[in-house]
Amino acid sequence: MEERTTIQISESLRRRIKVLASLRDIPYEDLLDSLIDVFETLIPFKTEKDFANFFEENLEKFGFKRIIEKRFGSSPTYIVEDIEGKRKNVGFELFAKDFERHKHDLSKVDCIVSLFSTVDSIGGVPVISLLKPESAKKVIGEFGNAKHTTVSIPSTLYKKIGELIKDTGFNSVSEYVTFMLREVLSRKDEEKGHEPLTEEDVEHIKRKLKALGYL
Amino acid sequence: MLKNKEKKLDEAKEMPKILVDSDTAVDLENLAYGVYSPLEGFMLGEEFFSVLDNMRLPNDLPWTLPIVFSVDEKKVSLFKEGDEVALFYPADNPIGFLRVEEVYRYSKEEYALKVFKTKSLEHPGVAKVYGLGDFLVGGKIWLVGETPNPYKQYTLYPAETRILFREKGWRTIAGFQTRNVPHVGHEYVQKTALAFVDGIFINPVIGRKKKGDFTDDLILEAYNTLIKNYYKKDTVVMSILRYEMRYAGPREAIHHAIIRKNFGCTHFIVGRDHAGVGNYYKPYEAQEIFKDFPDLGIVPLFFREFFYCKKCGGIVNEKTCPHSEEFRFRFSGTLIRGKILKGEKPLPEIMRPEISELILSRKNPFVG
Repeated sequence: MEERTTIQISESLRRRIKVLASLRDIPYEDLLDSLIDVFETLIPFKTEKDFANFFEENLEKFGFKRIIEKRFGSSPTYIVEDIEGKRKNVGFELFAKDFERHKHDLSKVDCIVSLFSTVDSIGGVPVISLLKPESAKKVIGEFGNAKHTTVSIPSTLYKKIGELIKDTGFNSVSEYVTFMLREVLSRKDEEKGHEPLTEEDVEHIKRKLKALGYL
Repeated sequence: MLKNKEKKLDEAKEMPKILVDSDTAVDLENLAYGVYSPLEGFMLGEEFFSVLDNMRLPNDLPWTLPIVFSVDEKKVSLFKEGDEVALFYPADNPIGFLRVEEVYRYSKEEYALKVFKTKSLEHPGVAKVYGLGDFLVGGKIWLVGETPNPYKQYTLYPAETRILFREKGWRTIAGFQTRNVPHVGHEYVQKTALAFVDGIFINPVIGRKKKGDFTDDLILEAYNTLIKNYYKKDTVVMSILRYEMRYAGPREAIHHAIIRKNFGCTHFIVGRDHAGVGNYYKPYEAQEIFKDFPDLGIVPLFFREFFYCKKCGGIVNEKTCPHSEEFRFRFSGTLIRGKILKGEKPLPEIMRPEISELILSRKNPFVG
């Protein structure tokens, strides 16, 4: 048996763990173990530095044009220029809540960039987060919803189709893409054809058609 | 048709027995013979609601009208899910079996509003829905018998028409749906289509109709007369479709097209107010709906309304005739009926004289 130890946690956190553990009918320790599994499997960034590299490579997707200054270890972590050319002080965390946990000064930043956040703002400071609770709901929703799902196409193609369908009666790119794909798939179905009849069946039908005067 | 029919009929002695109406019996035959392909039975709940909401089956294939088997509270107590029931029509004639996969409730109002766009009981399709039982039973069917059919010599099923078209060497076939005796406007539409395809498949609907429609006998005889006198040999085939009109306008136009695809047609003619009744649908709504179905697998041929123009001296339409209304004779069913009821022949520009004479020779040309 592995050595046991004791960790001190707040009463409110203990209650949250207790609820989750009882819902699954497992001990606290197993719950924590599975939560760590989820974290390690789904989150590709183990450290803030890993996430920082990703942020810097995908700056535009976060709404920024360029990095003016980088100050790891202090706050703001980044001074950037946004897409409108404005200078912004950026707090940077794996989890947005860590900004307060690390006791950073909210008044010194214009926004907080994080990997995950359950809130849109902290103390009035907007949070730009890669993963939100809605992201998980979307993934599950798409999986469970048979009516529609999301297909990713290049943005340039999306824009071209948007231009193409103006004044055509198609209300959206999705509607047009659905139309085109259904057309393509129906051609494939036609190629498959119908179940073949036996020679005996065909001869029987021909005899009937002759008897009725059709042939 | 079921291969081990005798064995199944023997088993049927132990099964719950249900007497169905003639419309359900005909649907059963259509399911069995592939007229409603890809359906193989009465719709399950998932299929029914998908058709109401999306005009498609759950696998995304186009399908616009529910094909359902309804029962009332008394009948539903005779069986449970997983049972097989024997279906009879008429009472002494076992026609098929249904494996009860699901029994479900539905809203008649939702059915009517989504399929017919109205819940007015004046609409014959809506009235029929409100007359259905409160439960729908879904499941695969097997046919073992035949429903009484006075038009056997005119009845062909999809496997048969496909072979017929192949034997005739037709590669392109335009299906023509009708529930009327032909006037010159119909003939013009058919012959215009014939200019583009190898053959025309005239497929009159035979079955329960509304009051004032021409009788089935007369429709068939009138077409025989027309084909004999005015069509080139080997360009036309006529066989009947045993089917109950729903009068669901645009949705039914798609349904009719799917049926004709199953018969082997490559094209389907859609005219003005196809499958409509009263003023529930816009005149060309049944054509517009086709834009939502690029995957039907049959090409719709849209025709605007044709009319006779005295000044043009022929059959024309809005696109081809520059003259005003005073020169035009419309192919109005109401006007034709009015003339016939007065014992008068419609003008030869409107109806071929042979057809007019045939109709006038009948004591009761209309459904009473």
